[in-house]
Amino acid sequence: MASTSPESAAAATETDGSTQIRRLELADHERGFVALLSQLSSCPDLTPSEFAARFAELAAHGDDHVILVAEDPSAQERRILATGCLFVERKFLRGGGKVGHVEDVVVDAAARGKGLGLHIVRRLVEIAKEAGCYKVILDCTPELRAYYAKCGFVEKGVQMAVYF
Amino acid sequence: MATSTMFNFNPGVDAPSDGLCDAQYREKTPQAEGNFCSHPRNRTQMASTSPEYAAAATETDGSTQIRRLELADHERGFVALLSQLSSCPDLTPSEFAARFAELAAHGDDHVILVAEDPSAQERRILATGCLFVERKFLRGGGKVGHVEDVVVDAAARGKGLGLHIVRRLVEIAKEAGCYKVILDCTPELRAYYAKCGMQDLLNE
Repeated sequence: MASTSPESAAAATETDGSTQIRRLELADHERGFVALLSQLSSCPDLTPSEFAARFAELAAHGDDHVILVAEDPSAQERRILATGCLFVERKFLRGGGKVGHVEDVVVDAAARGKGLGLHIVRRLVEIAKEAGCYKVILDCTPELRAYYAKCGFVEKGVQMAVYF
Repeated sequence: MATSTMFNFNPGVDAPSDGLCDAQYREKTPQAEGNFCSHPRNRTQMASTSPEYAAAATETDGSTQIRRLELADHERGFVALLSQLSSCPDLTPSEFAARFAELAAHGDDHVILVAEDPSAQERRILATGCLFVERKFLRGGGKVGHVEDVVVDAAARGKGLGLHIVRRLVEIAKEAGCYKVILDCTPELRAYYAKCGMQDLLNE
């Protein structure tokens, strides 16, 4: 899993013996991916074709949009245990620099406390660094500050939001 | 003209939603209101549903025009303006053009607005702001608008240019079907962005 491995972008897998981390694939729709997201925030069901459509849109961004998932490859019924997303924003700032945004990190309630979320976030940060981003940012509740501090994040400012 | 009635912003008359003169923005002072709403609309079509909007939208308040970034803005101080926000080393024309093309390829998923005084002798970008649209699986495949890189030239501050741009970006995000718009800022800017209808939901 050397962070400079050419394979890491294509078909990265990491195992700690019981958990494998890899990129989201179409079939993950059948492995509880949407139900997992609903543990984070409102996530109505997506039909297979709706999921496929969104999947294709994001896949078109290539390495600018990476969704990682964790699963137990030895489980009888395959199920996504955790996920996290990174998208790369290109700017004019910093001489045309790039910023990594981490989003939608969630670990299945039954699989928490094992470091899966941290594992995914660290991998996403590594991918952003490899992509040449000058920073990675994410938004979270104040209670999660200590959690993300474990991945090297420091608090910087507040998020403002408007919902429609 | 056929459009003059459409964009006649008499108080009390329901105005079409264009992100500027909606009722929610009525907290503006009379002077500011004049800046934003008294412009001669017969010059531009401003309906947010206008098909031209995405292509060549211009808004004027008489002295400031807001439009999308164009390649030539590299020669109008765009990079120097950004450096007032954060570290922004010079970009050669071809570096600028390369980044411009990459972002333009995202179409309406990446919008950079700029403000300039069309009557100025030497054209210069006075303010800018950016919106990019992130597509999610959440919310049934929803979209989130992210506002970034908002900066107003030091000599042009205090005239509402930044708010004007941010409000327009929020409107664009709404039109694009985003379920929310978010941005990050220092705590000191909370009151500023509150004027655009944004809230610090975690520290209310």
